[in-house]
Amino acid sequence: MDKTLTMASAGRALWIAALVLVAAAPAHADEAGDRIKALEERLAASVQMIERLAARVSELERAAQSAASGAPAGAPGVTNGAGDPARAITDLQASVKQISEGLSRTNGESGLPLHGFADVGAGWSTARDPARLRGFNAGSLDVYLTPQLGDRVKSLVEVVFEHLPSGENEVETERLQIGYTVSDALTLWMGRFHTPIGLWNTSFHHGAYLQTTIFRPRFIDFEDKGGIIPTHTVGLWASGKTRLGAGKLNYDAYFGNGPSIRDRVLAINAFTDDDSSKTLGLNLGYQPGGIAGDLTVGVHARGSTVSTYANSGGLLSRTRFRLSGAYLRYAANDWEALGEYYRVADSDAAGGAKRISHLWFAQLGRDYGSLTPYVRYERAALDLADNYFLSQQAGRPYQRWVGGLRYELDTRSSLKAELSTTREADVLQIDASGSRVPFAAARYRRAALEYSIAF
Amino acid sequence: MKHRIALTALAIWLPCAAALAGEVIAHPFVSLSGNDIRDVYLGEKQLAGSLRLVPVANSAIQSEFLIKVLQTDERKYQARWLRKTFREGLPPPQVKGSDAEVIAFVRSTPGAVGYVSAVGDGTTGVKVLEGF
Repeated sequence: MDKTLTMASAGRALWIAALVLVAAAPAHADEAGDRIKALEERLAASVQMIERLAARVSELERAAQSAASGAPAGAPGVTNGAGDPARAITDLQASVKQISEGLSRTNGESGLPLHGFADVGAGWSTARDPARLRGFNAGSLDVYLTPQLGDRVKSLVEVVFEHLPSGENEVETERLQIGYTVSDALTLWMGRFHTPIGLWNTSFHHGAYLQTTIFRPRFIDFEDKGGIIPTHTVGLWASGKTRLGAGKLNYDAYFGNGPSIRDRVLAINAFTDDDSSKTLGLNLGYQPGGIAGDLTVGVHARGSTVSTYANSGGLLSRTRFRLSGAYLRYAANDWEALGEYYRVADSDAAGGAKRISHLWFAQLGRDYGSLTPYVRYERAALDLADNYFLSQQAGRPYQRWVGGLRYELDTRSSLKAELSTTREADVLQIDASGSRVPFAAARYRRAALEYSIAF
Repeated sequence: MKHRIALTALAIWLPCAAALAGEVIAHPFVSLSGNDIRDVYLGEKQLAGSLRLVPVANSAIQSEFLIKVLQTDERKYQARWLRKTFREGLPPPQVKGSDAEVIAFVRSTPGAVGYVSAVGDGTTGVKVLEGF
């Protein structure tokens, strides 16, 4: 076999494949630029492949000459068949054919993959529901990118498009984090990230498709949707996992801007901090593995000082916010149980007694093929003298029962139907001017449908 | 006696041969144990020393690989990677369509790991890590 001819054939095959791709490109004017760019990249990849193959042929030629002259042959990186040049060349021919076929079939593997979630739905609720649902809603579109820049540098960018209760569109940068993989046990991130508290917040967040239910537990809802625990942080985050016994230990440690309360809503201070007090947090989780099946248990804690500001900009109060908690998830034999507990031990920065509140939820679901019925109970038992909660619009004690059905249409789409009933206690809250305002006890019901996808 | 030995050998070999669905291969620079291979395909292991690992899937025998090596099925595997990518920003393994594509990729990519139904004569430039 003439090796020069082999190399020439390889080159021709790759060039022909590239030219066929160019010739086959559709002539839509609006897509032409992108397609030409993609084809140029493929062409460049083909040229690189040809160069590698040429180098390989030269290497094999040298090996063949060595074998012919009786010298021991040895090509670096060859583990099998290195002593038989004829066989190696046959392998090479087969490889060229496979690569040519592969290139002709390659479909958009270059470029940056776009991931995301979308959901649409409908909802109806009784008069005292703060969200007051009365029909269809366009839901949200969550898109995220995961550019890998080299061997160690990675990033995660997530943007959410959704509608506010007023009907206006809202675009929000959910996450913007750039990381460096130090080792399998440590990745360092900087930017805006989902606060590693419990399981729900980091596992599901805006991915409606990922969570079994339609609505999140209310107290860990997003800050601008009635959540009363900070679910985002801007700062530094160290994360990783390592083997421990038969299982795996995962950890998160983070340091960032402390939140504040403005206009009766938690603000994460994404641009800069409002004071010198910072948030410090830790999360430890363990997955035992083995006979324990898919079990995750963990604990977490975080602390910061939270300032509450009036509409005028004046400081209303400063609270030492201390959060700790534990969580558990167990999935086996088509059952999934998930529970999270949060303990908040606040005190006024100026002094005074410690205010203890307890917030928790427990959720249970069972898969019957594609159908999953589920039930959840959630409760926020808040100290009624804690300024941190009273200064927030949704900072009221409540309890809620949720029940629903999820139907998995395929591995990337689901339909859900959910009913809930909520009871809120009466409480004297603090408005944006610092005045006390009474909130009368309320009870409301909600029914909702959701169609969600992942892509 | 010779027939008996041959039959015994055949009896031992046949079930083994039938049980093997494929082989896990890697670029010659990569060394991984069985547990490591599992971790690589579940996104738990990203580095081998200073080398970034680049796992690729093979759609031709993905079902067998998932069952025998990862002890999972397609639905759970996809769901796991969906959550993994969302939480950690780690993309799932690229999917190749045939043994030939996987071998070509592994051979030309330092850090690459793949699996094929049969390496056959195309083992030049790749390392066979284990059968499954």
